[in-house]
Amino acid sequence: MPGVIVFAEQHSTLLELTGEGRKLADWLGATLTAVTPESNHEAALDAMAHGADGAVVLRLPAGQPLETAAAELTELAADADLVLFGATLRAKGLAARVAARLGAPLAAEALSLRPQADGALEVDRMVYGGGGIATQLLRTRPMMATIPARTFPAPAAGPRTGEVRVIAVAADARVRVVAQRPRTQEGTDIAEAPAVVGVGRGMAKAEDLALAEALAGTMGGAVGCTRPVAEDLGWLPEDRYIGISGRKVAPRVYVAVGTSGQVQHVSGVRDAKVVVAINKDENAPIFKHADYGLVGDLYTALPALTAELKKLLG
Amino acid sequence: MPNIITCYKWVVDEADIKVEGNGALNFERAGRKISEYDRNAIEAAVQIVETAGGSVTAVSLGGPEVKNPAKDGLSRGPDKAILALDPRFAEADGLTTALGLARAIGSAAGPFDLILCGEGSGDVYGQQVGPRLAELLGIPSITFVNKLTVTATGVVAERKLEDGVEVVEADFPVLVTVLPDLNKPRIPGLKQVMGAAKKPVVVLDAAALGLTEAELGARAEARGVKAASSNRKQVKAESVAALAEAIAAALR
Repeated sequence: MPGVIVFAEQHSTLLELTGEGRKLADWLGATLTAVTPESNHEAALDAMAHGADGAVVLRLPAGQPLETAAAELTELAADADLVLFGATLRAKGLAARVAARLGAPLAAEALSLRPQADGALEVDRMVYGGGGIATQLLRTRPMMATIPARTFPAPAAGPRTGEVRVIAVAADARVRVVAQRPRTQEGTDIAEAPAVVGVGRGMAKAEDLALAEALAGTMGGAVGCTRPVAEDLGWLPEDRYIGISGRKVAPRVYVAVGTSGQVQHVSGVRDAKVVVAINKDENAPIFKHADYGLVGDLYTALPALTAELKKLLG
Repeated sequence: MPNIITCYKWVVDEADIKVEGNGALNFERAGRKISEYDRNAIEAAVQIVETAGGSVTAVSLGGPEVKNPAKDGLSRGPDKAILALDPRFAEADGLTTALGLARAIGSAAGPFDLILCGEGSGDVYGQQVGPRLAELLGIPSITFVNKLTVTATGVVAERKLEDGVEVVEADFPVLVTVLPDLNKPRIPGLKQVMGAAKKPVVVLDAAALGLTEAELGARAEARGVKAASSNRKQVKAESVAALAEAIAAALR
């Protein structure tokens, strides 16, 4: 169908893309359709109260991975102006398969979409592990991009109504999901926390994380880390590691403790409102990526900072 | 005895990239290497064949920046290599790369059971070539795999996804993209490096791959790369108390 199509597996991301999609649809003089798996039916209805003109749910047969929907989604997208996908791991594969069918470029994990006078879109994305920003221009139809969660704000609710259409996806007998082992969420989702303390290898041992936990506690926040702390040392679960191939967080305050400031890590906190760094090496790159930096030993600075914040915040 | 294809990309070593004063990136002194995640794919292919027999064909696409693309790949165990090399492939995007690889595989690889790729490239990390290639070849794709078992007729793959592990079975032929925690790639010894020179290499350019002007021009227009800038204030705090004030202010 012509117009703008937004797809997301997650409810909140579908609304975020609906909000941005509405603006882009208005710019193009086009309609907006929100698409999601049928298991997310509520989100489809909600999208139409947040700017979508219509919604489609994809009915996947049991035991089929999301990527099986490529054929049906391609049919929907074939004469669209623009298709945006919430960048979950499954949806990235789905988006790539649809893009291959359509012979269309796909801008992966776009940071921003800038409409151009001639109906093209300028898109930025991170490259070189977070060290660079590449800009590209999407022009031929359909323009396609995947968008991470929380890139765009949630839109306000409005009075629109519309129809939810069901599209049945044909099964692919060659591939079968035979089991799911859900991950149990340990503690808070760091992406939701108003403050995050990120620890790196400046921490000498796992027990020392307690110092970071105490600081995070005073701020009502959570503890995250660099990749080695989660993957190599195993001190924190993987959903705590912040970086180019990990979580992205945008808290009011991010406190980087004992991390040198590699771009791969720093790119995960680009959207933090304020970044604070504590490192004993005054030449550590982290200070270039911080609003406030303290050169010092984290083993004295952390308890002192925690005590000061208790006084200020209660 | 599966016939396995493993795709790899020759990328710039990002540690060597220099940032100029005006924010431009300088690649002049940058070395090149096989993208890290692709090494896990090559290792997985070679390990399967060491156990089950079969063959491994390494396939790579690149432009003039690729200087000695076959040797490193072949020293890691594959039996032969197919290289899609052409100046038009410089900075090829996911669309062009997948198309070139599909044509190369179609024309020179012979029948295959399994294709292994990294989950994304170390330079631009578009995370799309694997599934695109599978779609072009008309086979299923299973992405983000950190555990892979090969059977007589297909694979059982565990995908590490946001909500947990998804276990997927697929029949041959199938494409799988792999995560770095799938295995630990062995470092080639001198014998493997010397042996690489004797293995067959097929080189195909864009014309040999039958790529049309329209196909080569389909990619998005590249508008430059610049250093990711830091807009941070970089204020040096004089004391812990000052730091606490700044944090408290931001939280209010």
